[in-house]
Amino acid sequence: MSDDALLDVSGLSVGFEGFDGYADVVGDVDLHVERGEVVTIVGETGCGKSVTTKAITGLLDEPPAHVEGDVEFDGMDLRELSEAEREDLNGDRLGMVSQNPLSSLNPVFTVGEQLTDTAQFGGSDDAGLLSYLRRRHSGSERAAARERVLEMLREVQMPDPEAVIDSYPSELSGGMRQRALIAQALLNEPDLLIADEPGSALDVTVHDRILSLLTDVIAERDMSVLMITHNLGVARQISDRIYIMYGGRIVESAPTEEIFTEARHPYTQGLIASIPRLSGEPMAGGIDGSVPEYTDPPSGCRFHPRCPYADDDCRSAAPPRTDFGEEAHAVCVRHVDGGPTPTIAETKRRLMADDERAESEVER
Amino acid sequence: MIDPKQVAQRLSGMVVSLLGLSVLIFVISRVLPGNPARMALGAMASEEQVQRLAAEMGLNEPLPLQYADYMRRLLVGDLGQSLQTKNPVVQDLMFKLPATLELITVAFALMVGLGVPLGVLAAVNHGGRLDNLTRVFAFSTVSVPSFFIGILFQLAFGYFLQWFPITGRVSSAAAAEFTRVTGFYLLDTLLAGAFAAHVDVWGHLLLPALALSFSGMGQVIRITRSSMIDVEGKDYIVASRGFGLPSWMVTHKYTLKNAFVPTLTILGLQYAWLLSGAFIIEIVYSWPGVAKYGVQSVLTSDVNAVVGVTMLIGVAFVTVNFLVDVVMAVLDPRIDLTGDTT
Amino acid sequence: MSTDTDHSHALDRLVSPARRELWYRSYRRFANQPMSMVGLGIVTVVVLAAVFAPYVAPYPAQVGSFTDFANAYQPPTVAHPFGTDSAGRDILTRVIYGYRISLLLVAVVLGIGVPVGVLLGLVAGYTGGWVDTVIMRVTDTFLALPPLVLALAIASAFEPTLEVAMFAVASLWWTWYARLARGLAAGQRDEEYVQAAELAGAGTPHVLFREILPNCLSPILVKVTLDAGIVILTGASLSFIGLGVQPPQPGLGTMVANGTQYLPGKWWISVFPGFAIFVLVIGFNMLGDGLRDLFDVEVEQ
Repeated sequence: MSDDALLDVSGLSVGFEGFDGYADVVGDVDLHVERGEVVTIVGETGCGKSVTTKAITGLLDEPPAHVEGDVEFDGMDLRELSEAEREDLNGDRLGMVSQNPLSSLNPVFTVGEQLTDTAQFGGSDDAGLLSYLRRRHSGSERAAARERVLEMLREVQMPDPEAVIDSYPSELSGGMRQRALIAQALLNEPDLLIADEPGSALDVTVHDRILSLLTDVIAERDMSVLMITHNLGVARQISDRIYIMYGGRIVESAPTEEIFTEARHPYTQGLIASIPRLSGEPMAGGIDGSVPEYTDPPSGCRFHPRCPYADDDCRSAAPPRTDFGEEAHAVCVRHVDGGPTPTIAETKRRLMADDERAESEVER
Repeated sequence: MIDPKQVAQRLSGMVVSLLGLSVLIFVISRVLPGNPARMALGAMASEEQVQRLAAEMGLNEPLPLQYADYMRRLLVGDLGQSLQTKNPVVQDLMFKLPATLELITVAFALMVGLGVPLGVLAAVNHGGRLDNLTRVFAFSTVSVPSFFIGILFQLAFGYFLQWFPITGRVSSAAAAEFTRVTGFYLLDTLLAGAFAAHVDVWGHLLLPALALSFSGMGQVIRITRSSMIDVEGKDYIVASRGFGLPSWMVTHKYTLKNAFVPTLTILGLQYAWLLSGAFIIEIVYSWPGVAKYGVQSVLTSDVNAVVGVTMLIGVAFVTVNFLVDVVMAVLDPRIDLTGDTT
Repeated sequence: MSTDTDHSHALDRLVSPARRELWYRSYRRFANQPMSMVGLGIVTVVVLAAVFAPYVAPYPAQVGSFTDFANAYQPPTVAHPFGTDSAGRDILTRVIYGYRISLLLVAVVLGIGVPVGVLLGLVAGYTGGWVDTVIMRVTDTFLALPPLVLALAIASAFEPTLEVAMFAVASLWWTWYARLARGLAAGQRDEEYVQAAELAGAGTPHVLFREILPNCLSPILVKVTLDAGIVILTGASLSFIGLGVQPPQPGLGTMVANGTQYLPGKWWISVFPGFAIFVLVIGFNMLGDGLRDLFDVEVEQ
């Protein structure tokens, strides 16, 4: 890990106090984003990715959430910031694109009103009620901000921006709303963009176009990005480095290409083995089971109930972290304790054997 | 924006309700045991007197005929004569209606002006001490009998602190300074340029209006708070915090406008419910409005006046409910006017 | 030892362990809300006091047409914590007996209104068609007036007595339950368990009472608890106006009304009975609110 990381998270854990007891959702998360680097966190739905980004950006309500650990952004400790300092930072230096474009625009204000407010007041330190009233109704400043919004809408290739700016969100398609949200996030030229599965709620084709748009915008600005996705293919297309998350723990990290050629954790290997290939070679039918209950998580390694290599060691204690060179690590006991070393091919073989067994059981 | 067919259907439903109400009131006033003429004249009247009044009121006709006659009169706005004041009931009602409307409107303004900010305050601090305090207050307002809160205000602000007069609508000195034009004294005093009298009218209005506003304020606080909290959890509010908009702007601009739609329904309905509360408050404060007139006519078995007041309240109640539904449909296109309210 | 296990088996047969676990969790959730527990406490204490009034009240003889003018207008003292009224009667005693009348009103009004309304509502919601239309039109008529005004109009046709007030309120209260039950029944008409019962040849009564009604119970219970407060307020308002409980009977609203002529000097004659109404109503409201959270149902009020 280099010293000039823009975002440096260490020992982050998040839990929620609920009626059913304490849910330990995210734990021991260490991650960092270098300047100009694009990093993705990959994991199944419900593995704690969104909670992690919300904890980083301070959007979780505490309580009921309980957050611990250090979050350093450009040398500042984000966990120590006051609400006002946080408001200054959000939007201005930290930009966010949230998960669902259909619900992330306010339905009772026009797109223009929301984006122009963001351009004018997002991340600004001087915006009490009086200065808001003055600046909101100052013709020239408002007009300049509106012009900036229009420019940004053009940049995200919004069709007919002059009409869109005066429309209500319900009058726009999902793709248009996603573009509007990307424009909103970029308006104040943030240093770090945090994107939570952008476009994944949309059609596949629209999703693709949103991703390539995002790739272009990122490349143009040399922006640092922390993106979340459940789709390894998307991560491969966009990122320099990948974190794999399971059950609220980071299980593996490596530069993008290394993940695909040399995945070390059985979970990552299972994900790769389940990607459909154009070559038509058989693929594994996915990893059996689903993400764990957070109020009563599996003991030891949280992945063990679904892991084709699981043994007693996995059940008894949390596995240690093994580093592979400067940038890669995996958290699996197999890399320390012997037994068969998991490889993508071996994992795939085991998963497919499981599939066959399950199928024959169904037939019987 | 809204479908005229739906409005028409909703209107016809409203007419049916009112027709049903007219039958109900007819049944209450003519069919239920108890001779209205006897009740009106009291136990001391002779049988002959009762018979004469009964004939005068048409009570000896067959019921269907009586109903037809009653409906015919209702439709032309002839509610008969009050047995108590000897005036036509409609004339009495028109004379007393402005006092009630003035009281209800000021009470409504207080209910909104205090209830909505308290609801927002509770939502912003939800889970905190202020939220709990507001919650207890809201519970208290819906649980306190309105006559009791009226009496407490009289004791505290009238007798003890002596800030406000205890009963009535205007003091006799102030009443001499202006003439009745609209019947709304707040307006009439301004029209006459009698500012001292205007202040005097406000003084008489505030206590009963505040007492009246209490019955609905808890509901207003509650619905404002819950819809604010509901909206605060929405993706678009989390997103706008993520864009670094100042928190007061997120709360008072982006959240409040969304939260206001459900609040508005409750507000409209509460306006109609204030009519009901007025029946108590007007008694406590000797307020010369239709509600006090109604109570007096009930107590003196003044049948025509009871029918008149009840029909007036029914029409007002049903109309306000209808208007609220239409306004809601305009604000939120997803609302179906013909839909069942369950 | 063996008797112990036998016992727990018997319990398991009566109530499944899963259900007991659910009950226990529900109880914990309810008990964690201080306001609900306060409400439950108030309602319990008042109901017990009212039931055992002759043993609890300090001067049971002073309830009705008792006079002791030498002791009239006593301010609150140790002997008379709420003071005495114009006839020298102990106000605390009369308040406790007044609670009896208020709770009797609740029992009569809801005892009539809930079964009648729920039955009509279930039939309307399940059968639909013209039956539904007729029943709902009738409820619309009743709902075209605020309950207090309608009760006033009904009461106006009779001599003012407690029985008339009870009849007036009871005769209109069923409409709220008819609407509630109708909505709940209509919502279940197309549910699979209802259709399964129909396919199995179950008759209408079976479907209504064995399939649909059990799923309506928690909203109805919540509404009953919240309504108890409103019924008490309506009854007290009628009495305050002079249409309900007549002196010398100790109606709480009647006592407040009677005391207004002695304001402000003898404030206790009005204030304690008024405060007593407030305490009971807020108790029911807190309890109902806790139950609403517990069952997670939305009930219009």
